[in-house]
Amino acid sequence: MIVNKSMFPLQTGFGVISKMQERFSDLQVQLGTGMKASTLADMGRDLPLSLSVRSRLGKIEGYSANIATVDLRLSFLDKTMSRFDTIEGEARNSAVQGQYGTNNINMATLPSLSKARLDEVVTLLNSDVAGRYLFGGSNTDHAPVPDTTTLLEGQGGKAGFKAVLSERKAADAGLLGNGRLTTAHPVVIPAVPTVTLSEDGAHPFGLKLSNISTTAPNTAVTYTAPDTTTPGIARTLDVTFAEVPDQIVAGNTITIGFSLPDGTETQITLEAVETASVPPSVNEFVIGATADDTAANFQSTLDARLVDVASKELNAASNFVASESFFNGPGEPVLRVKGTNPATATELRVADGTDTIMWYQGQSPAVAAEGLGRTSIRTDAATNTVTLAEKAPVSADHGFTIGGTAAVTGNITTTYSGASPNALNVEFTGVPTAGQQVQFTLTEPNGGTTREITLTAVAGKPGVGQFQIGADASATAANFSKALNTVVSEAAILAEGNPRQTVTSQIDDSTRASYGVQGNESGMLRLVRSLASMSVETFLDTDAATESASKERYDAMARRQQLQLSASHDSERGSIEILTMELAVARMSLQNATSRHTDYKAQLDNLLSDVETVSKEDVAMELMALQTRLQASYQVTAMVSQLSLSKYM
Amino acid sequence: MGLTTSLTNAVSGLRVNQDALGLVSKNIANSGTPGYHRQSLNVVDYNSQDSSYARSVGANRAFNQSLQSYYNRQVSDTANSSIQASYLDRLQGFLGKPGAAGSLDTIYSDLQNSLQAMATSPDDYTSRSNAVTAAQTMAETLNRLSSTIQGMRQETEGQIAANVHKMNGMLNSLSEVNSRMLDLGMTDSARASLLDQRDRLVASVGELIDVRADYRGDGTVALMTRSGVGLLDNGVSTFSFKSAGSLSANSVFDPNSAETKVGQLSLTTPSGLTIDLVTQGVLQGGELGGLVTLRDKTLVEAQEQLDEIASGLAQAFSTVKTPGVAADDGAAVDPATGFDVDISALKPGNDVLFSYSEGGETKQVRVVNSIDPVDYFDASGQRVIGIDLSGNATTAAAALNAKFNGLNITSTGAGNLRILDDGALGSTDVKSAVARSTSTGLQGAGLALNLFVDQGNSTYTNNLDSDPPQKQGFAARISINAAVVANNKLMVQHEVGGTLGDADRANYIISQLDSMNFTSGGNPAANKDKFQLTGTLGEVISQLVGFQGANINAALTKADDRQLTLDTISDQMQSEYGVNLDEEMARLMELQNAYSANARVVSVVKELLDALLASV
Repeated sequence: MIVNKSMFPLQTGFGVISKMQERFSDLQVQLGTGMKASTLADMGRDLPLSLSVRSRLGKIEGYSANIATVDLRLSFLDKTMSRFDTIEGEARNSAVQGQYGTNNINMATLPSLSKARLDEVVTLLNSDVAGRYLFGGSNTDHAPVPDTTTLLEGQGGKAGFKAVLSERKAADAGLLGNGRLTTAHPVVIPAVPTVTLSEDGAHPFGLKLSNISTTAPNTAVTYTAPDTTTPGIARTLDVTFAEVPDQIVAGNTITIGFSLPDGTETQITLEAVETASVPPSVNEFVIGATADDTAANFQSTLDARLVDVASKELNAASNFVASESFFNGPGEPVLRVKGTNPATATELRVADGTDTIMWYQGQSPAVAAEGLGRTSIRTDAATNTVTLAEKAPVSADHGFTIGGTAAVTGNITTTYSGASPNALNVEFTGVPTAGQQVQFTLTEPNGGTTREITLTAVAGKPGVGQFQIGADASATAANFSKALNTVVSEAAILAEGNPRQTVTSQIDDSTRASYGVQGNESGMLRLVRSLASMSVETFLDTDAATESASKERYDAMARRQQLQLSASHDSERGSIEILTMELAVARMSLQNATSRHTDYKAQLDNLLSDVETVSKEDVAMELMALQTRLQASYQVTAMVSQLSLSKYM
Repeated sequence: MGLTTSLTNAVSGLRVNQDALGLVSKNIANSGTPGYHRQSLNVVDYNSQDSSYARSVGANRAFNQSLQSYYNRQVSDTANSSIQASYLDRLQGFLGKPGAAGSLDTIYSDLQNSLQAMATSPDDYTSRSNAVTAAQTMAETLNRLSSTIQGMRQETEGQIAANVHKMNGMLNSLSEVNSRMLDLGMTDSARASLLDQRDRLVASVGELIDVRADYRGDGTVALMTRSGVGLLDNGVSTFSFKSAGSLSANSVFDPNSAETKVGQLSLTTPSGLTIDLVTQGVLQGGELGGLVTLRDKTLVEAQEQLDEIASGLAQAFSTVKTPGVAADDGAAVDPATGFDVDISALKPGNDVLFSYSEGGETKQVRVVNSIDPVDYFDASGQRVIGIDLSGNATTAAAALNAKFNGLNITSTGAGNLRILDDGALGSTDVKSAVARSTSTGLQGAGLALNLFVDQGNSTYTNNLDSDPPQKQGFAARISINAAVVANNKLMVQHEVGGTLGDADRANYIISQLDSMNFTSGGNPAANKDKFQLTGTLGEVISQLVGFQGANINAALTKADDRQLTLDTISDQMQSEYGVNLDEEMARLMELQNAYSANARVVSVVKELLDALLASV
């Protein structure tokens, strides 16, 4: 602005007019834009308020965008979860024990129907929203599960489920196909009428002897029950038949119980008969002329019966245990049979991605609360020793590593074995005194957190990290075992964390919506396991023999599927029902945040409009008043400028 | 008394009337001429024994010295404010209103929102690329504002040079006017127009520089600045301006003329003495004063505030926080407790933050890794201490220990700083300690990310020891790490081969932006006249916009006020010096009447003489 070019500027009157004109154009701009100020400086005292309101509004906008994105994902998850629920129900009802359908239609169609369901489950697990996979926890950038064919058949030389299953079936069946058992009836002179049934080694495969009973009087049959308390031994039992006249009579039975690899139990009952039925029954043995003959008959029936059990009940158990090891859960490794010949294998091994298809590649905790983070607690009543041991086979990537700082104190002797699998033995040689402590560490895999665990002996009611001193060493050991279980469980729960927390989104200043879902959570895991197991079995019914065998296998499979998918699992962590509920909670918090944001935004918008916008009425009024004034000024100025003396001369 | 006397009287009246008419006509003719001062006739009547006749003795020029001085001062002040207002008015256009596209606060809130969206969908290419774009926009906005500000500074230099040229011309003209004024042979009206010219020149000089005019009786004028430096007296002083060429944010004024990186404005007096006008603080008004203020203060401060934001932005993204590890001195009873801080990763400009309570009062300390041994309380009340942490840790610990009475600061070895309380005395208690270093890599080096980098993709550590300090002009150089632009996965993938679904890095940065505090301006005691920005980055940006808004508003209002005062003075001058046409017209009629009356007297005297002569 040039101040100085006319020393005597326009008369004040004209100056005022030009000011009024400026104001006029300001008002016009205000009317046009609706904004009070057109520049930063014009905003004056309103500036700080405008800035803070705008920054808050910007934040709300960001949160709202987040909410919109998350809401889409949650609605997608909601749909997917309800589909899972439906599939679970369908699968549960598809195979019911004893319901084979007209012409065994159920048996014939079950595998393909299960395969179709498995396909759908895998598709759902791999579903994505705009390129984001929702079932891999925070690993959202690649599909968490390979396709069904790869899962079942393997790919590129890597074993799929079918290969792992056949290994396991072979390992469970053994060379003789009788569940890794051997029977013996020594041929010696003089003859001994004893049949010995023993496991062929200390390993996790095949049938495990659990008990024996008989309806025959003990004068007729005597037996030695298997030793089920000592761990890690091959169990054995024997049955001895009495000589005439105390020989077993027809109708008496001998029942032998077995534990199956999947944790279920089965038994065989062999009945003594005078003459063999036609056709011969697998459940009968003929009473011979001598006890030795009877024993020989018993042995051959037992052999045949064992093969029969192995092909039906054990076969189903093998299948389900194989699906459990192939479709590993959180904090568990994939397990396969170790060695080149599965039929003689004695150990499991941890399989990795180099030779086996890893079914779930999403995010998964390294330690799971289920199964104490791959540790086990055992109490040896004889020596009052409580042992906390890592589960074999040890996996570098899964479960706790037990570390010992075992200090020997008073009546507690702790010994730590660092040879993998590590174990900590706590022996109570007497009643400890209050305040005595047992310490050890639990370390998460791959450089994870190390937790120091301390258990303190107390006389009264134990709190967290304490165990009660019992009346004697044995009671104390029992209390200690209980307390140990509690602390290890807690450590495992802490280490596992909550899968929901793996994916969170900020929806307000201090509110986060958690909606992570991991495909290997128990609900989906059970569904995948049982559907995979069901879809690889075939049930032939070409003739009466195969039909009845198939029916028994069908029953065994159906029973196990029922067990896996029963509604009793609905309340366990990670079940489809619990997941649905937790996601609904997240969605609810989204809705609450949305309504909060909407309300707040409306208030802020009002505030901002008070600060920044003009009321059109006010501006219009001012414009009109200004117009009147300006017109009057023009008029007067014009009139005054006419009033000059020179006009009148 | 005779007829001749009457005739003589009438003729003298006619002559005076003619002179008066001449002046009236001149007044009327010049009624619109800027800087014309109304003139009036001096009439003297002679009273001899038998006659009394009027005679004109030159013209009077309307002039009021105090009004004139007042006017000169106001012209300087108004010019000073107007020039600042006109620059700042443009600056506010570039800054933009809150909420407007391109306004810093809008762009920052866009950046935050895009980071939020990235935290929600880290695996989504679009959301990552949006975040990178928002960051780029932020950097570019800072670059743009910086170059605008530096452009304006450059312009001020140009304008200073032009003004200097104009000023020298005017002073020379004024000197000529002065020398002609001493020629007493001139007519009054010639002299009056020369005086008009003189006043115009003085006012024009006043527009450029604050000036005090000393009007002398002989019509000459001596000029000096308000601070007392003579511009024009017997001789003329010469202004000169040596331009510094292109200005950047690092071109700042320094009182030492060898160090200064801006153009030098100096004055050479007739005696040959040269004064640096800026260093000596001579300029107190006028356009030159306004331009220098803009160049060396207002615009520089705006640049510093932008640098502060750029620096905060880079640090919020790149700072790795290494919390101290609890430590004690091992005493069995009442051990002195505190923290072991790992200082091995600290680069120049990185710092260690710790807080301790003394007598129940919590105190915050920031130890900056710098060879400059500063020690002051910044605007947020935090104590800032400069210690060289890159060298010998034991020496550094000893130097730091000497600063605190109640604390025991030692080093257990290279790269370690152990900060312990006073143990058994119990009057102090170390609450927290954290080392804040700059991230060294994009992957495998923690969650922090060097997204914003200095020139040539180099790391920004806020190094205070370089010359100039790294912060100075960073807003002009800030850019996005080229590696991230090339591969936006790096925005989320903090481990090589890590999953893209991992939002940890995004969340870390969001929390850094929300929680990391900055305080601008160094030692408040040394920068009394500067506005200190303090708070989180968002708050700092709000403060910048708010401060600049208020500042510009104040400058504009001030310019308006001064203009108004100047208008008032001009009105007053108008009434004192100006030509009132009505008045002149009335005088014209009066003169017309007087003239015809005098003429009538002459004709009557002639008739009487004729009658007399005829009767003879």
